[in-house]
Amino acid sequence: MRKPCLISYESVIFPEPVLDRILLNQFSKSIESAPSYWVVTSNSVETANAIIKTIRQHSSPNVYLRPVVLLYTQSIPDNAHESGADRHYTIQQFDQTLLDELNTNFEPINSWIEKLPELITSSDTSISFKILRFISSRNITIEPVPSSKRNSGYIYPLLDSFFQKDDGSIFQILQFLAEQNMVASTFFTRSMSCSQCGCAFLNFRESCPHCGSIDLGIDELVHHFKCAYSGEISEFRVQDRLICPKCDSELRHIGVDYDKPSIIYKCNSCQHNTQAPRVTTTCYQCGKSNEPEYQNDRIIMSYNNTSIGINASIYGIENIFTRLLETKLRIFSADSFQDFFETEKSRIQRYKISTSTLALIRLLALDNIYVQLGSRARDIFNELTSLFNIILRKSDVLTLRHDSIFMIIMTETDIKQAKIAIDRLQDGMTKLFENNLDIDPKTESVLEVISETTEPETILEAFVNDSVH
Amino acid sequence: MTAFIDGVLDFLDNLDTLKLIAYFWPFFLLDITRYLILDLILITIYIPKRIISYPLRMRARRQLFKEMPLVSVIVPGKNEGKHIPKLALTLSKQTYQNLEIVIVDDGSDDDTAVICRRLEKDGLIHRFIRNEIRGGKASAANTALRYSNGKYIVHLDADSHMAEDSIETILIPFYIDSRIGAVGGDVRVANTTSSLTSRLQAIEYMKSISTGRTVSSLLGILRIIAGAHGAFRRDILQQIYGWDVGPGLDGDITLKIRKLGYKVTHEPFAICYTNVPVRISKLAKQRYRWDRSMVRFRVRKHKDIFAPSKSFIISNFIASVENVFFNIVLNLKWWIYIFQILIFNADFIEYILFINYVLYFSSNVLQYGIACTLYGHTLRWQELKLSLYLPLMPLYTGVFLRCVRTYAYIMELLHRTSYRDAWNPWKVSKVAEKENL
Repeated sequence: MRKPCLISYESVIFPEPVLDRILLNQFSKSIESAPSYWVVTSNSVETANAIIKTIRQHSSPNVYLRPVVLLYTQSIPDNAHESGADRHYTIQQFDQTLLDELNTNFEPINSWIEKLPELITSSDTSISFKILRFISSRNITIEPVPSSKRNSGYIYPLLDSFFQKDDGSIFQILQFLAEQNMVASTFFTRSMSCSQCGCAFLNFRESCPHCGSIDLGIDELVHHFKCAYSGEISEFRVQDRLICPKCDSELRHIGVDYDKPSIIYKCNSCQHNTQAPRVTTTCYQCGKSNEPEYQNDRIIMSYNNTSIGINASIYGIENIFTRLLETKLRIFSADSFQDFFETEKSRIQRYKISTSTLALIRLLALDNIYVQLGSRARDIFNELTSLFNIILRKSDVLTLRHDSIFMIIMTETDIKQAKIAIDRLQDGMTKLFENNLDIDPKTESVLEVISETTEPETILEAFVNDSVH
Repeated sequence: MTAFIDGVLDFLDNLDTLKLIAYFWPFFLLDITRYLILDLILITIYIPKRIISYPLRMRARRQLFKEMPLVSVIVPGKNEGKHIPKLALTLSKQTYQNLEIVIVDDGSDDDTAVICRRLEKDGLIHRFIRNEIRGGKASAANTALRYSNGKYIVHLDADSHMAEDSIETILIPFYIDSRIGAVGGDVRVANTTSSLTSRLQAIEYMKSISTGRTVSSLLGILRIIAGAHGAFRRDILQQIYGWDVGPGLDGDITLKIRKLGYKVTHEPFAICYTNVPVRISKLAKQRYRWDRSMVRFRVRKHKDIFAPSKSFIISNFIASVENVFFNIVLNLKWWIYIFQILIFNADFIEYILFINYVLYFSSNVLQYGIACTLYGHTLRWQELKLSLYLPLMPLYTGVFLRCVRTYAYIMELLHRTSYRDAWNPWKVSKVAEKENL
């Protein structure tokens, strides 16, 4: 049975109950013996958050999916919900009873984690997949919380620790998962944000529609029933009484002697009166000013897991791209590809009249492109497969590695012709994504003439390493 | 039928002049003098006078355009939003363009605010003020006055539209005579062809507003500047703090301006077309309200005009006496006359009624002819076609309007029912009644 484990930057004094302990710089080595839940002690949300980020950003599901209990050395702060921990208590509250209780409470999460195939060895690098697994493991509604610390104005506290930077990608990833029916989204609230930078912190100001000044005063209108005089309340004020400037009567009772039918804005710069001041919003971050209707009106959603999502989170997201390619492009498995490669190598060696080329092409940041495309992903990747079909020949053998690297045996193709084909492919891919995403997708490729010594896996490894560096 | 006509002719044959007057004294002694002969004489004088004064008006016009004062067009009203876009369009086509359009919404419960805010944003109106709580027309007009900046204030009804030179024309009298404090525009019927009721009102407006007010103006006894189209000097409106509680606030403010010693005049060529009630029941309600205000304001509120005082002005006295005499006192004459016929001349009642009808019909034809002459080039084809309905006018004015008027006077004199009119918010009416306003 797994036990909780205290994780900290350095050795900390921790009273009873006795906990397993691990230092933050060592815990990657203990993936196999991941605890039933992580215990983090801190005196603030900020320092706790740094440790929780380390846990959540780990690639092993046996680490990042485990619950985190945050123990505050003093009282629980108001912004405790922003920490990203599953639960939070004070150290004083944490005793053997609570420890056992938490073990029981987290049992469904831990059982779910244990069911994951290749739990110890697998490494989840896709952030979308990690988020999906996390949501599925918790079986809770992921709700946004207003936060003044983030430009987006809202955070999903439990998911926030998965991200290194606050670049708003959490919203894109959740939207993408919802579009793929991996999670179910429900309207939570609306939020205005800057149309230029997306920042939710906008300064709403009323200004004079005539001169644009923000130096506006507000006065109440008063209607005196007896004489029908209508004017600003300041015209009626005589010391602490209200005297009608028209008939000199005293206004005593609102609703009986007089009414206040409306208010009026008076510009102190140009003296213009209006009831409809212009409202402008100014972004605190980029300073861009706009009328509210020209800012973004975002819908902020809450998210729940779905049956499809739960299934995908256990057995892996079946990559749409891969699936499309498999059905339309005849993608071979890595083993089959290797067999074909050996056959081709032997054929070339025996007849010595043929030249074939091994091409590796990589579409960088495929995950990102995926998320940005959203609901258009299927159409765009359909077009991409058509592009492959046009440029590659039926005799070419194709496999997909690491979800984004294509290895192609280009039979009876010398390196010059192969380069022309790969350049055309790269060019086509660039144009396709530029037109749809307005970004350069960045592709890399390498070509090698197939010879007796050519080893696809070695070339692949070198290619990956080169790409990383 | 022939026998009846023969009977009528025989009846007339047997009447000498005195008898003729005795049988038809309301027509010969009062109505023909006040409403026909006077109109005929004065319009006959007015038309050449206007032609002669053309250079004077042109000079005044040049002065107006040289000075180009800001003119505020104020439009108070409730649930009038649907009319405002058309009105704004009319104003945008005016020959005089230094206008400031101020719309005040008196607690509308329809989409007036939405419509007017959009027009304000689009720059088609300059200021829109919405009062969430209804305060009555006078308070809405005063709100508009408070937030307007023009040297002259033109008060319009929302459901009206104007001839393109209307604002220019209504302003010219201010540049002819500096003693003029207010100018009434000519209100004509926009929805003439909507129903028989509107057609009859169109003839009535031609006679009583276009001709009648031009004549009153010439006599110096004009007593009303219509709210549907009236221009005022801003300084004078500020001096009297705008409008008082209605109904009848148009006549009331005109009297207040007159009391200050300013002249008021009617400009028959500052044309405004307004919508009149289409159904007879609505017309009856409108006139019931108007007629009661005659008692409330002329007889009660401004009774000081009749008494000699430091501020006594003879023309104001005549204007009010004429108004009260011809409308209230002489309204009684009809009931006396009917009583006379029923008691003393019952044997000839059908002849007397028929002859009266012919006399008043003839009078209406002549009055209509005078109005058409006055209209001149501004006469429209649809107004010309109204001549077909002239035979109904004696019944419309002589029976329908008279009955409504008599009922209104009785109700107001005996029961002060104007204070319970829903035209004003009840809380305003309550205060007005308590203060005896």
